Amino acid sequence: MYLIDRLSYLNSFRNVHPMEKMFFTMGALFLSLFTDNPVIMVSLLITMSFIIVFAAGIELLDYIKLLSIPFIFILSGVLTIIVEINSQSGNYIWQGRFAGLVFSISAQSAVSGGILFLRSFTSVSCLYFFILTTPITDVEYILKKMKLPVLFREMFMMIYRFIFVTAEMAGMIIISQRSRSGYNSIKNCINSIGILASSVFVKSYFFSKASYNAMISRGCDGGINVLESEYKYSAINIAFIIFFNFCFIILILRFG
Amino acid sequence: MSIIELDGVHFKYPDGTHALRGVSLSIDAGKKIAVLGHNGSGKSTLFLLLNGLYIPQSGTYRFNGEEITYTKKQKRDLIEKTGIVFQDPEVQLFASTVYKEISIGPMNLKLSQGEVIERINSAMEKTDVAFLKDRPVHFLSYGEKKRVAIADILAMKSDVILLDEPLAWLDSIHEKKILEILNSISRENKTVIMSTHSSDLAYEWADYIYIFSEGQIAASGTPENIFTNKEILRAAGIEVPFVIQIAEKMKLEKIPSSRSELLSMIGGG
Repeated sequence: MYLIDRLSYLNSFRNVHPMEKMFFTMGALFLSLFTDNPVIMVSLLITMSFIIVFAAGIELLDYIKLLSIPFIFILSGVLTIIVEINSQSGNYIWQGRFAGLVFSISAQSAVSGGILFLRSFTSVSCLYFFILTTPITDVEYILKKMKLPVLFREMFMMIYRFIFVTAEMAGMIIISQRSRSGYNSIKNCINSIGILASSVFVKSYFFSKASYNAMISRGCDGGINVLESEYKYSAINIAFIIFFNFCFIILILRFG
Repeated sequence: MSIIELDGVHFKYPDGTHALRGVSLSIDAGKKIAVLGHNGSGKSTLFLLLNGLYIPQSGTYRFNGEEITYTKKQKRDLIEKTGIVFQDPEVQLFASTVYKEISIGPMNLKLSQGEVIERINSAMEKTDVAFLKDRPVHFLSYGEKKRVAIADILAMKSDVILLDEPLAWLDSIHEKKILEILNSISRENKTVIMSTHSSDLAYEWADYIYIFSEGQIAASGTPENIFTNKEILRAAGIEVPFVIQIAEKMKLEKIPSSRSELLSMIGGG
């Protein structure tokens, strides 16, 4: 979370119009969902990764680190689709026994699992493009342009802001617990985690009261009014987005 | 002319804590005021009351000569004319970027966009945070957060600026920076009221000092008068400023008004 948040402010696409970034992501995402051709998926994945690393300037290592997070989820999801559990033998490309059960992989399930794996990974890289180049304030901007009710937008922003406050608070409590050997045995651990949870809760309550006072004292009466920063659309970017989608649509139409 | 007048103000929290016990004071416009007292002596409560967030159970509050009866309009006016910089900037800052954060106050005052932008820019310039403009609040250091919190209030252009322990937890470089900002605000003829527990700070900075003790004003006066009265200080548990202690130990003929004056007196003599 911290890494993504930091990168989203420190990339070369920081000042690009957020709507452009969203449309680009959406376009790429739809392409990856509509095609069944693994070659097109791989080329989409490579193009997106290329754009993220070289054009947006995200460190390759950071990007790989972030990709490895969903990797485990995708892998475990795909494995359950590929591997079937049954007792009879049939037309399978691999079979193995374990604890009295027969695990088998058929050619068909391997292909559909492989495509699913690629599709998930390609979609993740598309979404990462958006997440890594668009700071949360710009996400708020998009939500506003999409006419999301103000209540949801404000809740979204406040939750986001106070996640950091709460995390910092919890971090400090943990340090002070550790400095008094609060986590040196299992019993202490359980005890300390309980205290941590309750004290974060109590502190948050007092914090929210103080925050409310601070808001009222600046004249907030219901809504939170902020001056939005304005962005300009760039013709080059829009042309690129259209060109990019056009190329892939042609490929999909031609090769499936 | 006094801008703020309290007369016999009592304030009790719902849990029964009697935070202000008959406070009467009168603050002149354009002055630098220090409210000196220990933790829990009622300083923060006083500030919230002056801002109109807390309503006293008894006593009167006059702002600019007008008695506050807590009508909707008066409450709104008080919020506009007085601004609090809270001790913990974390409590105060909640927008996603510094620029948006500072815009909240003037936007709430329903000003035109041009006016809002102008106020944000001037507040950022005065507090030296313009270079942080697009940064999210959680990226800032504590000193930067504090400066943004002050800019928040400056952008509202209140006549009275209340600062709750503005130097708490700051390093000496930031202390100096914040004091410079406060002095520049004061030069614009704003009334600056600061709460502190440091008698050294109050002595050097303030034009007039109120000593708070257990929800009451134990003493008030100019720095020269208040700190030479040892009886009052002892009763309120306030320490004699370091500069005065040294001057008395060295038997200097004149009591210096600041540390730098003391140093030059010692150096010269």
